[in-house]
Amino acid sequence: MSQDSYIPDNPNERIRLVQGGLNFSQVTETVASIAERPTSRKWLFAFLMAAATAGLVPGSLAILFWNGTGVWGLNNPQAWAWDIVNFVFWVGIAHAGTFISSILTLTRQPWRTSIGRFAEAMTVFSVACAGMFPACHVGRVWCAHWLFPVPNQMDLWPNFHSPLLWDVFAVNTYATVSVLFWYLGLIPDLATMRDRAKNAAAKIAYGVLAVGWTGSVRQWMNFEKAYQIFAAIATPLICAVSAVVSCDFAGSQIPGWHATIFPLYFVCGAVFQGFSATIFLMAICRSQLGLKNLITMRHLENLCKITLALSFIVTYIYFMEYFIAKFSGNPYEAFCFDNRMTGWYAVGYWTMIICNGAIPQLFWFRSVRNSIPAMIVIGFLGVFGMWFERYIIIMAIGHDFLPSSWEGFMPTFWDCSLFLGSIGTFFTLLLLFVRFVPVISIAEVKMVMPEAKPKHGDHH
Amino acid sequence: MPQMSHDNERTLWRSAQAMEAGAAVSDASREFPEGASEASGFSRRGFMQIMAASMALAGAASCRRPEEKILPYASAPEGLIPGKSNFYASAIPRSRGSLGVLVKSTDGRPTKIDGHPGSVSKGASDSFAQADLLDLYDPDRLQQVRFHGVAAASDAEGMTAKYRLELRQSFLKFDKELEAFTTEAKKNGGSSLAILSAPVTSPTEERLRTEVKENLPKASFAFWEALNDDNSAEALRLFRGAAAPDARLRVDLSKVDTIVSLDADFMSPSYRDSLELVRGWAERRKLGSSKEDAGKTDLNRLWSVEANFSLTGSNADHRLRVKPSQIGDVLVLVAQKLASGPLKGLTLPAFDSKLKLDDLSAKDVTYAAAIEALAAELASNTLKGRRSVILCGESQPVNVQVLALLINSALGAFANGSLSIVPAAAKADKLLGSSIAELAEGIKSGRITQLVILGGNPAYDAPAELGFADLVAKAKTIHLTHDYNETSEKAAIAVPAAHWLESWGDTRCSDGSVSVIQPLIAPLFDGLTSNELLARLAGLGKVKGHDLLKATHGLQGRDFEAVLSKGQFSGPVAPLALVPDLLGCGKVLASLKAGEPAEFEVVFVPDAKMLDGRYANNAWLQELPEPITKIAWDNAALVSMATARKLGAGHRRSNGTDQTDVLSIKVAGVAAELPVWPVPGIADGVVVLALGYGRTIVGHVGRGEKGSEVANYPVNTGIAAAPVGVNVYPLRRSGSLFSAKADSVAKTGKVLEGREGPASTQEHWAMEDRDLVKTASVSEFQHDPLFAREKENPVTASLFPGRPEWDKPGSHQWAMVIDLNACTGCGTCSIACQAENNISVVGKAEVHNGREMHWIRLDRYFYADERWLKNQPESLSDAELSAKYDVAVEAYHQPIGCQHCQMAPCEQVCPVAATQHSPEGLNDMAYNRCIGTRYCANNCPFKVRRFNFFAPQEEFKAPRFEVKKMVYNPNVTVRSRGVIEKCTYCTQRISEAKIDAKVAGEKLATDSFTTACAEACPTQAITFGDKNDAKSAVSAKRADVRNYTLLPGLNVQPRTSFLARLSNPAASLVKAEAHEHKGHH
Repeated sequence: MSQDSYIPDNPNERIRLVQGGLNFSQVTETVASIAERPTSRKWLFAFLMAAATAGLVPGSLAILFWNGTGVWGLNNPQAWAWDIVNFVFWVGIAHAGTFISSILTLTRQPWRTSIGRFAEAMTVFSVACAGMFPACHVGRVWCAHWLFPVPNQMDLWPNFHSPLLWDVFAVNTYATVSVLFWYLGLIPDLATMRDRAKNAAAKIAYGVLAVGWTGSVRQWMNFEKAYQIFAAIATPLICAVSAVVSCDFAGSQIPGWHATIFPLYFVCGAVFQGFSATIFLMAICRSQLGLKNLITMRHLENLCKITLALSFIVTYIYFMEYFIAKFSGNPYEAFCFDNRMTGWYAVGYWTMIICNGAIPQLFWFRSVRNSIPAMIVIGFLGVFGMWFERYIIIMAIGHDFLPSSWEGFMPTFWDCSLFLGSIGTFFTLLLLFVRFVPVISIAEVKMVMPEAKPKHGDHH
Repeated sequence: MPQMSHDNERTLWRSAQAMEAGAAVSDASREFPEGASEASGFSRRGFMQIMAASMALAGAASCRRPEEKILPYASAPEGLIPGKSNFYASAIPRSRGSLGVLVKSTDGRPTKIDGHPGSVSKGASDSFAQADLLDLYDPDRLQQVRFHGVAAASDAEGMTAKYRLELRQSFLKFDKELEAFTTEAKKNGGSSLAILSAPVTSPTEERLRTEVKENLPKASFAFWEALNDDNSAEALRLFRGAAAPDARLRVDLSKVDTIVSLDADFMSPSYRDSLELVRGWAERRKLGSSKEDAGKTDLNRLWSVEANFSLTGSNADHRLRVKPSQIGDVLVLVAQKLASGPLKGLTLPAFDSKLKLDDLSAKDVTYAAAIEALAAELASNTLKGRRSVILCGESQPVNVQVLALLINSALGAFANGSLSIVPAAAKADKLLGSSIAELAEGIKSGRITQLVILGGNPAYDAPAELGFADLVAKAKTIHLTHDYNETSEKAAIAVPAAHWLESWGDTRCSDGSVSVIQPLIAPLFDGLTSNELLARLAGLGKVKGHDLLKATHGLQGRDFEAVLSKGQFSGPVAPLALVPDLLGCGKVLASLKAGEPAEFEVVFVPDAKMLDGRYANNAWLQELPEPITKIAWDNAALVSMATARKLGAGHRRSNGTDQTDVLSIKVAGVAAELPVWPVPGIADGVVVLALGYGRTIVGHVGRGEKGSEVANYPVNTGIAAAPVGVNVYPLRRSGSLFSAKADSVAKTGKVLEGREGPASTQEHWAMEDRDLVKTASVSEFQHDPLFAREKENPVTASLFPGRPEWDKPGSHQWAMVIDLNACTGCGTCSIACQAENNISVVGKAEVHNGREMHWIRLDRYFYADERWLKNQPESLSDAELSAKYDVAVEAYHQPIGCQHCQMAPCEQVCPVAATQHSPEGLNDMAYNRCIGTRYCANNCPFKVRRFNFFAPQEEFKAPRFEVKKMVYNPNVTVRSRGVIEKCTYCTQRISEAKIDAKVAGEKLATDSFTTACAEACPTQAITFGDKNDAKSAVSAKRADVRNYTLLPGLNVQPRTSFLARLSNPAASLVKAEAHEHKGHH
């Protein structure tokens, strides 16, 4: 390993990123053993719960495909509702993982190493959940592939004017890059798992996935380079994907949708939501998986600080959006915002303001930033509030230009079941990940330990 | 028009063109024996072939021998081009003025009904005429003769050969039963027999009735119609003296300056001669288009005195809301004011009205001031030679009706031809008739034991106190009926009636002309006409309707054919001279008494959709939103805002579900429970109930069952099958057919949750100060003729390139203009569009879900001047404010279909480019490219795009629904599940016209055709055409000063524009405000 590639961390100034005096092999043991020890009852219980909930997905989709989009609560002005709310919601959760592993890599934040893997896994799984919604929400799912520029005998192209088409490309690119990025980072650890595997099946499985990783210097050099390149590619994607998703709305002319602030709004909202979700899940996993020495209070505190900063940005945007709507003198925009605050969906609006704007302010207090229960609650509320943000935005089409068409939206059982199912799917995948894959990047954590810093001046 | 005629039983087709075809058919019938082509039951294809074949026989449709029907064309009749439609003149028989129609026939089946341009409607039609088509193909029609309610054959397998055979056997059995029935009647000379029907308008039927009378001299005839015009007929009789010959009143509003409607909702299609009246009204609502013309604007003025908020009331310039018992008072008060002028010499009885004249009848206008102004206007009209007409609704008692006739006469309405008296041919309206009450007495006393009911449903709609359902069961009853209904159930024999589209006949229109009813299709399920049944009672045997008709008119061969192409046997008749029986009238007037208002009064309104209940199984009409309430699939107890508040009842949304309180309305000891529905502007203390709902013995649509359009999908339901609406006939008694005093009206405490309650297609009432329906008074318009022109300057810069070919000379650029000053809001356009474009009906549950599919909808906005409401001197409590709202409210109607934006926002966002602009400016939809992302629907600022959330047409896969598919227009795709659809400007009609022009080698005359909505519109409020042609009608309208488009700030550049609405209030009743528009700016 080249000397330049590790990031110095002065133990005199900062708390060590790895606590409990763990040495290299202990780190490996701590992480790898999670995947190796026998299935715990707790895990089994959680997994069964999640899988059962995920089981709602095939049922909900079968009903949806067999009967039609009408099984949802959609109506004429409200042609999109929970389908798109949930899509944007899951895309949002995805953002933390990529943010941590790309931007924090490029800006050389050593503390990211022990949380990156987990957050990236969240990215991959939530993109999977997100992708489900736009794919199944179209009226004729059997024609959904027409969204891609598939060559055909009629020379029909998709409409490149449509933000929905940009969306298709953006989300697909994002999903592809996220999966590759995550997998790339996994390779050295999969090799570790292969080497430690006690039974043949695990050995073969990990072996195949580790694609012949031996840990040679050349491999490490390539790996490091590739990782940096991926980080560089993924960084603009974070901005691109949510910004493009936001164009679905900003590109329309519906009051409450048609706003130039949307790309920024969606990116910051998504990262805020992603960090909230990471705090929430990380704070739980840390104790459950015995990773207190690797995911320290310092890690969590950093996450809290970033969340607080993002909360400021979204709150500013909430205010700005309202100000512009009122200040522009556009009666339709002004009505839309008044309606959000006082109309049908006022509960949702104020939930959003409180969860995303007010409550994260508690992170100003060190005591809150160091309290696991507080973090779990605030993190959860951040995710919860961000769902309502999308809900509030999308419900704007119910009350646009012609009051004669105004109509509210009520979700049906099948709206709820598919959403619950997507949550179940997310947790099922996450639990499988926790059970079989090192949840922390063993190799990377070792790099930021003081032991990794060569003391004797000899170059490798 | 038909190419064939049927001379007698032996020779087949007689006309030159048909001879060949006819002969071929008979030849073929020898070659292929009966049943050969349908050995394995009916395939869909086979069914269509048979229907096509039956068209060959349409000219002689009374010929129902099955061996003639089951064959495809051996050689097609000359001139028949598959897929090319033909039009046939016919008429819809109505007991109150029939409607001449032109029916489109495609490949042997009728597919669209429109008004006959030569008839009184001048080519317009109403929603009933449009929807009659669906009734023809109603699978729930009575298909077999049912004895004591038993259906011997099941149609579950559809039109199988076996089922056909069973149907035929039921008719054979009926032949025997009828013979026995007639023999029995004959024994006592017919004294035990009574024949009950609606008033007769058919000369042939009149002739046959006299024949029956000859055969059974003692037989009696009774007449009943729930929505009768007995009061006005009686008033006219008294007015003209008992000796005067039978006649009816005809009204021509086209030159009338002042129209006073006394609870006469003539804009509702349920009103007698509505089409003629509303067209006359609209003539005087159209005005010149230039700025200079504005100064010359001379609109008519419509005053409406009414208890409910009717369509007419919503279009009135002044509306006085009065309890039903006091509507007559208003006329008497006006008459008193006129006593010194036009009514000099008329003595009115002492009259002390209890009407509170100091109350507000409208914003700033008291009743006293309104009556004063109205009287002054009527008086000045007579001086200035301007015309005035008072229309008296059927609800008014005879003495008020007579007073109205007297005033009309004094105002010169008869002299100037606005009113005329049309002779009703020989005892037409009341042929030897008795009332239903006398008939009921006869049955009760046992004198009458045999009853023949021709059509109708008296067991359901006869006056409640008669208990007529039991009487139908008591007598041996034969009920000739289109559908198996409450009366058929009680009858000993229920016989299927042929639809008017399947039968020969004649009928009298309001101008006295006699129109031909000619079949377009052989009876789908056999079935008799009332003429055929009467002929058999008359002992004439099984004579075909066709022969009966010819015998009546004494026409044969070519003479008869000539009549068919014209559509009329005889033209309008000259009106009778008026000689009022003043002495008699004086006596009638002496009985005028001031109304005694009760705390709660009930108004029974003829429903604009169900009429008297006969259309209960018609899904198009069920789903058409009621014009004022916008409720579909239901009736409700309509009350004013203040009354709702007083009753503590209402309609609200709580925890995301709709909650509707239920009212119990008790009249003469009988209570009915209906959901309450507050409508601003109804008279306080009045409950408005629509007749025609709550049918129990009715097809699956009326029952709200699975397989109906009330779709019970396996998921997403929550609506139980229940009759549509509540039957209020039990509250309706002989003395109070149109209004009654209620014993009590109270909240029951029951609450209808969610989908149990009425489904309204428009939840939001107010326009929210948006510039959507632009209105001004005439004086405001004269002051500022350009008031409707865009005040906001749209930014016309766009990222998308312009389309220079759009304005290329010679290209067609389609556009539509809707004149809001002529639109009444009746909704005929919606139904016409539905019939033309195969639009699905989605059912009550889906209307609740906000998924109705109409391509052109009627937006109705209630408007009350907010500033006026707020400027009331004292600070108002909520209750007072809602009372003020009732006073100040107005209603506007606005038809909205796709606006065909030139910068269409839907086109830009569709990811698969399924919606695109055509070079002729249409916003096209490629259904088979659409994947259903619904982004276009979101981005449409007018919300006119409709998504197929389900596939309602899939509900009709069962064989018994096969017949229903015949209603489809073959030129329009039936959309699949998951695609968006919307108004296409009837692109199929454009294409057809272009093809025809090309074939003929001519330049397309763009005003020679129009869209379905424009064609049907009773007031011609819709103009469609080529805006690139400076001479077209639509170009002229677009140049109108009142022309405006919606939402100009969005720069979507709609192709549909509107002409602003004007009101014409009396100058003396308008507060001298600065010339300011009504606050929508």
